[in-house]
Amino acid sequence: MKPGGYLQAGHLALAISIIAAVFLPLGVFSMGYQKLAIILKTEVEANAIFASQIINANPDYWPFEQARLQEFLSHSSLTTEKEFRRILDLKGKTIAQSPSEVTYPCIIRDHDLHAAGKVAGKLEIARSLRPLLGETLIVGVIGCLLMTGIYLPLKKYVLDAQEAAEKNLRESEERYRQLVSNIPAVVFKGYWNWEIDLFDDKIERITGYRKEEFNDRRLKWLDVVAEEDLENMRQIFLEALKTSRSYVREYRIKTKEGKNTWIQERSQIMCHPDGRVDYISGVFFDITERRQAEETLKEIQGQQRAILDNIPDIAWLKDRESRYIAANEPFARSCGFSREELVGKTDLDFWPRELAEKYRRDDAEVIRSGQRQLLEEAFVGKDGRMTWIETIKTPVYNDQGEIIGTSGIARDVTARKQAVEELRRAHAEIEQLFASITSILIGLTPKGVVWRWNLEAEKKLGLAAVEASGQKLHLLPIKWDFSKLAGAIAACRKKLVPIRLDNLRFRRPDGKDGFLGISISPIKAESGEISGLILMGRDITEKLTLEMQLAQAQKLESIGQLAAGIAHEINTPIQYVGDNTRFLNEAFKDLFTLLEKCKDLLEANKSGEVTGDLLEQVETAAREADLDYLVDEIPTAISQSLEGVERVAKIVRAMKDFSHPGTAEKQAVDLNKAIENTITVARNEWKYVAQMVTDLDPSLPLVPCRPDEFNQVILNIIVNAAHAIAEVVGREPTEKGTIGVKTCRNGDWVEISISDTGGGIPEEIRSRIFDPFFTTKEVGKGTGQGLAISHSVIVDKHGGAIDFETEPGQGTTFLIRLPVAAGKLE
Amino acid sequence: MKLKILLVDDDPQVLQGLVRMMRSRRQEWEIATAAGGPEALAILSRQPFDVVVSDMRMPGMDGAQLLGEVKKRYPEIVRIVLSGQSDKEMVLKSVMPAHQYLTKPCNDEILKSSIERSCGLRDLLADHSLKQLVSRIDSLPSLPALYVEILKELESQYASIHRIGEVISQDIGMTAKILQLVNSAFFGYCRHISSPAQAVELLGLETIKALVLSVKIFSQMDRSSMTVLAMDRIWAHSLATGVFARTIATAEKCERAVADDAFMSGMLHDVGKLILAVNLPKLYKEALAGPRSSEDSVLEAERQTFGVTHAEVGAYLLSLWGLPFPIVEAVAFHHAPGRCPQKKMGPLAAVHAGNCLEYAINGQEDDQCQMDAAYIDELEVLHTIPAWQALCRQAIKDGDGHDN
Repeated sequence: MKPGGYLQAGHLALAISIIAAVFLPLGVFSMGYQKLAIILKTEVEANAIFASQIINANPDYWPFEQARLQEFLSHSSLTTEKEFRRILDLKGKTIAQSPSEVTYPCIIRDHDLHAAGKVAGKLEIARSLRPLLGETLIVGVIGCLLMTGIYLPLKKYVLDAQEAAEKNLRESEERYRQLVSNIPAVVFKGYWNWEIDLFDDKIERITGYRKEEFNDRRLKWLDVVAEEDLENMRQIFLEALKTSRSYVREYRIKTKEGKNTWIQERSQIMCHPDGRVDYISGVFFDITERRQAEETLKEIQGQQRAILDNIPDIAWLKDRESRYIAANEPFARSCGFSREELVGKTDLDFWPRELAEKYRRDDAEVIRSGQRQLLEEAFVGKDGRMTWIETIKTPVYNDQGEIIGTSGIARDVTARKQAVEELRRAHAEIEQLFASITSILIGLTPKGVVWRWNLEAEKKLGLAAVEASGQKLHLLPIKWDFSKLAGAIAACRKKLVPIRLDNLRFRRPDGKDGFLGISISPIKAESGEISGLILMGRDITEKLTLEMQLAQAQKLESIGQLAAGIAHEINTPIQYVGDNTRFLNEAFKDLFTLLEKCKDLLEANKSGEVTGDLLEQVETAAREADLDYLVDEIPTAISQSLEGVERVAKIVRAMKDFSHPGTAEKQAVDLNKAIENTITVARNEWKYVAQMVTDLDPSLPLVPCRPDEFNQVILNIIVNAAHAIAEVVGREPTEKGTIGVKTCRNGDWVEISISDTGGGIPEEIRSRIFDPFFTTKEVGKGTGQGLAISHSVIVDKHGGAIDFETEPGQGTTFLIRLPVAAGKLE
Repeated sequence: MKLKILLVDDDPQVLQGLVRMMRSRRQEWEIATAAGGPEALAILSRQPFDVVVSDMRMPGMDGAQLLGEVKKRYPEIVRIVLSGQSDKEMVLKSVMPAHQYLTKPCNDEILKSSIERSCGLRDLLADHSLKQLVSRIDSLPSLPALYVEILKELESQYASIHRIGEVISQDIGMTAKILQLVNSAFFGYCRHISSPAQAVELLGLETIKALVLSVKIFSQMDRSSMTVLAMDRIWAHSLATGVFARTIATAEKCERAVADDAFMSGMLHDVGKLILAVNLPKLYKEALAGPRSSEDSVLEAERQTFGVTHAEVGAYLLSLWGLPFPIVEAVAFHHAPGRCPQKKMGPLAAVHAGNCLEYAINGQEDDQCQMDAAYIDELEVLHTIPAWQALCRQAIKDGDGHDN
């Protein structure tokens, strides 16, 4: 702070005191003096006139008139005695004078006295100043006292004010100094011709040039300004000139080092009254960093924006009033406004009222609660299509931690919602499916705990789902062959493939024994681990019963089919055996007649009475009996009859063997014999269309099997072979086909091959011929079970194999293999 | 002249057996054998035969084929199947070509009587071409209305065997054919048939369907045949005669079976007219063109034109078809019962009387026939004729126009 401050303040106080103390008395004095002077002047002039009249009475010798003048002077002394008057002649000699003494100091006024028009002398009036001085002194003393009284508090006030001002000034200076020295701003004064004056060394920091270089006019500001910004600068300047005369412009300069520096210039244009530019006063700021920051920010913003624009979600920022502040491109697209248009708008401007209000309510809630919200809401795009979006609304805080708005990000979850919906529906459907499934369905965890137990399981196993769920399967109170089931479950777990378990014996809820067919499927997790098991099954008791019945029906069918044939086979020999017997009957009648005659003849011969008549009778009887014919025919008739009887006996035997009462047990069977029997039984089926060629290995061992089932298989295949041949050669062919039956031993197997010369099996049905109910015959003919049952018999019941080779146009050969070993004997 | 019989079978032992079995008829019959169809045809081409007895299943050519061929070439030959097959398909195949169907094992009596019966009336028809004509017939036409009705019924989803029986009972042609089938061993029935409706029930709906729809055992009478005779009248007359015959037989305390036969004989007694009208329409029409005063004049006209009357023609067909002998006999002699050696109250007498009564009750004046009073008298029932008449009128009133 400068000391001058005090002085000034002191002076001011002092000056006021002095004015009060000096000028007040002076004024009093002066005014008194002036008043006195005027009074005196008036007096002198007036007295001079009187005096002149006296003089003029004796103009030439006026001094003679001294007495009169004296008198006059005495009389005219009207006011105070302190007045002294005298008249002087030209020579200055006192002519007359007032009786009073003159006291000094005094004020003197004179006036010329004229005599006969000539100045004859002068009148002098002097008045003492002592009374005036006394007044003045009094006033002066009062003034001094007064001023002192004023001065002291004033001085204090002034000093205080001054002190505060000085302090302020000091602080301000300090601040200013700090400002000037610390902020990157340089104060300048510029001129029309780009010259500048600088007041700060900091210019060197900004430009690299020293202040003096500009101030000495070695450099102009133009020299450092980047050329490309010049035009813009001019524009701003001219614009400002027309308007407020102040401007802010940002541009680049080239520093001494050649670097680009961004300058912000804030200036005021000072003009002459006539409008000419006088100078420009302003500051430069180095905003390079800010610019860079801005650019960086812009870049970051650009990147962020690119990110925001490229995410599929829509994102936005709203202020407290739910006005849009910013939004990303997807948002703009979805609402159909440009981003620029969006700003300042509200939801009400884009969306259907109801939705918009909901959005705004949600915003308000976020702002109120300060809680992030996750919402799933409807959304109607520009095209009017309704979609579902999932929105996350988050409060946005400023530095003070106040909520200034909300940010939102939303994604189209229509597909997901649909997927979820779909999933939900699928789930519901699955539930429905599970409920409506007519199979037993049991879900097991990897540890064997029941987690699903459907209605059918409840019904068929007599255990409620609530009782079963959460329990280990083996602990459930169900009477079933669990060891078999456990084995299958273990196998399924191990191999990770579905395992089929047939004929699992169990106790039905009604107490009867039944069979379950269960398939156990692993549920594989994505990792490949097993994540559970599904047991699906059904009570196959009825099915098994039906299967047995069906097998029986098929057997009956083929026997029924055979019956007609067998009947024919038997009818034929019976026919001729009967015919022959009748013939023999007739023949023996004739022969007996002849024998009678012969007997008669013999007896006559004994008695020696043979007559020609008797001989004639014998001859006639022999002729009538057609003896030659009988001799020929009778032995043939007998042998043929015996043969016929044997034929019938054979068929009956074969039939008996063929329809061997089914036993559950396998027994050692002579397959050759069984095959021969079957061929015999089926003879009528094939004999019209085919030759039967058998090549049966006599060394074939006995094979353990169920003879009735085996016969059934052979019969089915032979009948099929005959049918296949009939299709080629016709029902009553002239050229028969051939059925070949061959047996042989091959290691541990017995092989039976049955070939035909039929048309072969068409390619398209080869895979189906062992299927149940598959038949190429007309509806109503055949159950379609023959080969299916054959397959089941050979493969399932005997552990053998059945296969076929077929060549279109050449025929088919069925190959059956049965194990010799009794391993599979049950 | 011996009856010449050709036996065909692929089994030589069967043939030999048959030959041996027929040895007892060696005086009347001459037997030849063939081991198969082609051989049989060869033999037939060399010499005439009266009867062919064939097996069904034979390699190369089955019985049905053979008999079809025989029917075509030698229609007058009686065709008999002797088969061990009970395969329905096989049987159906032989329905048309065979006159009769016998099954193995067949005892000698059946075989012999079948042959004899089918040939018994052979001599009734002297005319060879007429014999051929009748032998060739495999079905008799039906009235169009009935034919349509039976087709409709059979094709209906709710076909009723009872209804089918009713329709067949009203038709001469259908009745004749059905009786042929059930009287033959075609479907294995060897029992007394009481009525066409019963026959239908014995065959069963499925078989009837197959026979009518596939084998086509029935046929529709064509328009030209319809013009030869008043067919509707013949149908009505036949039905009524059947009813009358049964009524009479019942009245005379005949057995139920005889009454049944009487009914069926009445139903079929004019089948000969049908045969002539359908097969020889022109000739028959001409024959009947002349003035006639009664049924007897019709007989006379027939005799002049064909040498025989419709009675013989019809009877011959029925005998070929193996219908029971009493029926054949009744048909054969329904106009001349006196010619029949059998003199007793039976179907013949019932039909004869029923026929005449029917004309008397329902016929026109020029449509009468003379009852053989001598014959009736011989049966000692002459006095009951008025009673018969009354019963018959009553039967018409009762509407007993159908079966039973």
